[in-house]
Amino acid sequence: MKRLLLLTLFAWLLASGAAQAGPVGVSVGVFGGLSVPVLQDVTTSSFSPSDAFGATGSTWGLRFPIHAISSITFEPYYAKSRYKDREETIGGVAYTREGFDGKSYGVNFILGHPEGGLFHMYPYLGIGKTKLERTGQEINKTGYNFGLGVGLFSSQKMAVGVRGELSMVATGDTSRKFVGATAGITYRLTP
Amino acid sequence: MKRHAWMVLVLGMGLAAPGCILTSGQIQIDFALPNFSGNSLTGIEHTTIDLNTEKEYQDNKEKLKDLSDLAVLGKFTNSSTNPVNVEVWMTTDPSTHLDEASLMADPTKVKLWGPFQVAGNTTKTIDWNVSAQLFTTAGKAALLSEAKGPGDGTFTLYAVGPAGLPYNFSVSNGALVLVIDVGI
Repeated sequence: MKRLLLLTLFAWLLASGAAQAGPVGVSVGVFGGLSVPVLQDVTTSSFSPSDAFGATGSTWGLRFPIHAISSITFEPYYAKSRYKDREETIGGVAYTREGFDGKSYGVNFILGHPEGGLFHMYPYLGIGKTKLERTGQEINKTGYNFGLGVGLFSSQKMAVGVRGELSMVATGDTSRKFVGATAGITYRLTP
Repeated sequence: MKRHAWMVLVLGMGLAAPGCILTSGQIQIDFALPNFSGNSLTGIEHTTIDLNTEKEYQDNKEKLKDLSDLAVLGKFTNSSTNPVNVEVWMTTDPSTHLDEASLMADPTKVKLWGPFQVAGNTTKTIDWNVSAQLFTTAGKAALLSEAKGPGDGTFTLYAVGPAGLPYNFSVSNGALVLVIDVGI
């Protein structure tokens, strides 16, 4: 938690430091899309490759891209997610296991600028705090994001893009992983 | 941009390397339990579980890191007119206790799960989500010890009612569900 705050503070300091050298581009964006659990609660005895992906969930949230230095954009974010319940028959009886509700916040480090025009691509890495909750289980750990964004449209004030992302919540020596695809729209507050 | 691409590639390769937290998953193992009953007058029944007989456990034993999710599932029938609070206990060494008193005198006993209340003269199928909440911290630790070591993976389960009170219940279609965290 302390590390995350320090990282965010570091990002802001870099941004504000660079602001003295030149204009800082600050934007606000919303996004939403799909998030799918990967290799979670699988039964290996009847495993087929399609079982690697759990029931599709949804994710949505806010992003605040801050473009302060030439090659990196810092992007604090807040996201919520909701995963579907899983139904299974065990011992001849049908049961339902609740899906996770997730909340996360952190910062992405984007190589380049996320607000480019059509087919402008930008990879990014992120670190944050993720809380996954369902009845009888709570995971509240550091999360990591790895992804690739693609611009679809950009004007002076607005930009639209899509992202593919792998999110991972570290749980000791293992992790809970999710793949996601989101679409987002960004509004530039400062140039 | 080329330098950035290499940085991403190297980072990606490092994260995907064997033993990394990225190459892990959660595997669910279901153990079918035989029908068993608990009666304050006639005694209790037990079932001994040997994790080593389960192929999914055998295949992943060396890579097991943690227990992620647990549940006792099944249909609980209370044949008494009074409500009953069912608890599941385990002995970390295999045992064959026939009554609650001898189970409670066993130094390896650990309360695993419960209480789960069933009204008088009713049958209730437990909800998975409710069941997941009823595991005790000591029970989880004991199960993890059996699954990961130093335990040997063999333990005995008992279902009992509240001490000192009359009870008469049975459990059918029972299962113990473990979700284990494994490195791949």
